[in-house]
Amino acid sequence: MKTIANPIMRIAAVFAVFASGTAGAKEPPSHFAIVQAVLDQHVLPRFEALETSAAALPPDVESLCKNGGDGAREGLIGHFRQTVSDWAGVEYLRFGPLADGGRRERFSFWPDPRGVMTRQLRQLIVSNDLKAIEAGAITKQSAALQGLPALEVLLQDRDVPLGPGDPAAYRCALAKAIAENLSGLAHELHEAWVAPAGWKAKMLRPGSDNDTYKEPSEAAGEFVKALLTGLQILGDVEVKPRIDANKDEPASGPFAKSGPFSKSGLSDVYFESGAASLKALYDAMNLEAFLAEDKDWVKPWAMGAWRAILSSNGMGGVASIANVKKEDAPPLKELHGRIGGLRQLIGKEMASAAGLTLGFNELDGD
Amino acid sequence: MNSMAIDRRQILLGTLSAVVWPAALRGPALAQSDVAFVAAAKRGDGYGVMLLGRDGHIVREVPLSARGHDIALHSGSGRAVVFARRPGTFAVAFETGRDSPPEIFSAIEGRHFYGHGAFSRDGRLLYVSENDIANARGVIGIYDVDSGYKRQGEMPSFGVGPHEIILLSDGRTLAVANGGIDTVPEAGRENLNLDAMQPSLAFIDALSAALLAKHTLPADLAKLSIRHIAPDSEGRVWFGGQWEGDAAATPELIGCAAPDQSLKLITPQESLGKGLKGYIGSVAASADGAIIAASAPKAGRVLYIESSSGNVIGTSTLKDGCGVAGGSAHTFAVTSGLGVFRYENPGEATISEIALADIAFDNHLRRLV
Repeated sequence: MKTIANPIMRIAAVFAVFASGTAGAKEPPSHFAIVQAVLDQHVLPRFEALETSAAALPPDVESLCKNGGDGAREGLIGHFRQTVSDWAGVEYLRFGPLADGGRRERFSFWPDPRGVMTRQLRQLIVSNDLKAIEAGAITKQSAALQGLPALEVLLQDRDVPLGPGDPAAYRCALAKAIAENLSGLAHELHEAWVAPAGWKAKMLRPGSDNDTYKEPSEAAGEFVKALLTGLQILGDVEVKPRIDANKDEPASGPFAKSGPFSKSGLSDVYFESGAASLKALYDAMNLEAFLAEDKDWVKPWAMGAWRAILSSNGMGGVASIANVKKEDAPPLKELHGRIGGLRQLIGKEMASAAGLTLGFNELDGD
Repeated sequence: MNSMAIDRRQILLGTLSAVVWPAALRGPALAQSDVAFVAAAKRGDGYGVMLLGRDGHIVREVPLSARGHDIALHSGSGRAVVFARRPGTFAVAFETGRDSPPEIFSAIEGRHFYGHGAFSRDGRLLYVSENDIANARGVIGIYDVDSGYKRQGEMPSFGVGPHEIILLSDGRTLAVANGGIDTVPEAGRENLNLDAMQPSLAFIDALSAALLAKHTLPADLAKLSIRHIAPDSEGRVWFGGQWEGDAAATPELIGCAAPDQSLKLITPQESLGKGLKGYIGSVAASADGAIIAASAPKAGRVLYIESSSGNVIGTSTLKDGCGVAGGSAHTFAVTSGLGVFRYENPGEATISEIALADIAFDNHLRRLV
């Protein structure tokens, strides 16, 4: 399947689905078919896209640090943006390859309300520790130093910008180490999915000899969990901190300002790409097809919720996609409510109808 | 049960506004035998604490405005306190023996609850697991019951992310499961420090706040968050963990320790951790402490362990089964997120079972002694 790498195009594609009605077929798919569809249409293309975008980072860093210049800087910024966007499209798939080896935290140590990354990065730079930037050594460092947020700080540093010359030499070596780590992690992730004995095979071959999935319903249920987890992150971690409880306007507290990749001005890209990816997962699962006729009200409600979510940039503004009017983007408080309501509908009505009921305690341990 | 009458008396709780409970609305004292169990639950689209009869039916409900987690019980007085789920900040105190006005209190500025607490033996103090948010430091908040749960102070939990705390049989030693996971309310339920976890089981003198012993896991088990605990008959504390590492490397999740005995995991003939999906949601002991039950809701299983040997002597299956409460004759009550209330024995099939419509029980079930 051809991947739609550009997040804006992906969102446009999502709206095209609205225009032609929902993707749901009348005959509900089997649990196995759900898994296969999600893997082929959703998961694998996105991890492939992440591998591609992350692979561009090391040569970009090297070019900027060797030659300098606005063109090289813009090239790195562009690929960084694409990697952030692609990352937002997979980071909620927090099982299997992303959970193993702490890859999620290593790829992007966020949220980081305590400022761990900034503090550790400053200490590392001051220490000028050459061993830390030797080939592969970054993987032995704290997860906070290994991923996108650390690279973002180096990329956005105006006091000592990345480029040729001694002042930025250590930063450049560190940026290159991080970029190579990101590229390596993205490659590992993709391989862990598509390898002959990888996670794709594990999900498609449930059974008594499978150490994770005994039934197709367990594998399909994993994607329901991922969808609900993604919506929870979108609502409670990205949107909620931005809501001023008294004004229903963007909050101004310190955490609100430290949204994902805010130093690069990419918090909206992160939100929009994550939201579009969740909608694509929702469509690929086709849970609406399981709803009984007396549950017809669920579909338009869900469609309205998705429209509201995809019309927002997650920061109180309008999404950067075509054909969205300002009035389509709900205030943040309403957006948070819509995301929560959609999560309830999927978990309670759709997943149950599909025979993929998730327990109250099994979704999110405590 | 007169549920309709009870419903009319219900008020929404969980907010910090003062609750006025006119004497005319106060219900009569319930017979002590009416309520046998308590558990936080979701009912429809709302939340509450369900006070259950011996057969599992709902005798009374204390509504909450958000999801509750565990309930601290004081057996002598019938007092109970339900805590908001991590990282919530509200707690609601109520009487199990009578339908009296609940008292609501909250975490102070800069602290949040972890969902668990324990009364002192005399019932005058309540110990609550809390987070010192700014410093990522676990603390045990100390509340004076008679003054309306006014916070008297705090003591360190000697770890990050204290979860369940219990008072041991000597009446002054607190066992604290320091899960090792850092959270802040602004980041919801996101775990912030998975690559730097240092879980521990601490034994603290509740009177002096002195650390009596602190046991940690070896480095290769540092991602086993110690979360739920129960005492056995031989002075040990059994724990159940939540594995945050690679699924393929999931260790055993159940173990025990004592102030003078380091942490030890069970050693079944075939490894169990991965099959339990890396998570133990609740741990409870039989009344005589001889049997430990550990629920694994993600796997839909409850394990029974003989405390003297550490051997697994039984397993039951129940989808999303999590709440466990021990009783006499090694009979356990088990609840599930799908509304099931069941009695079972470690070596037998289900003794009895009912399913409550539109009820989802939270992790923990507490039995009134």
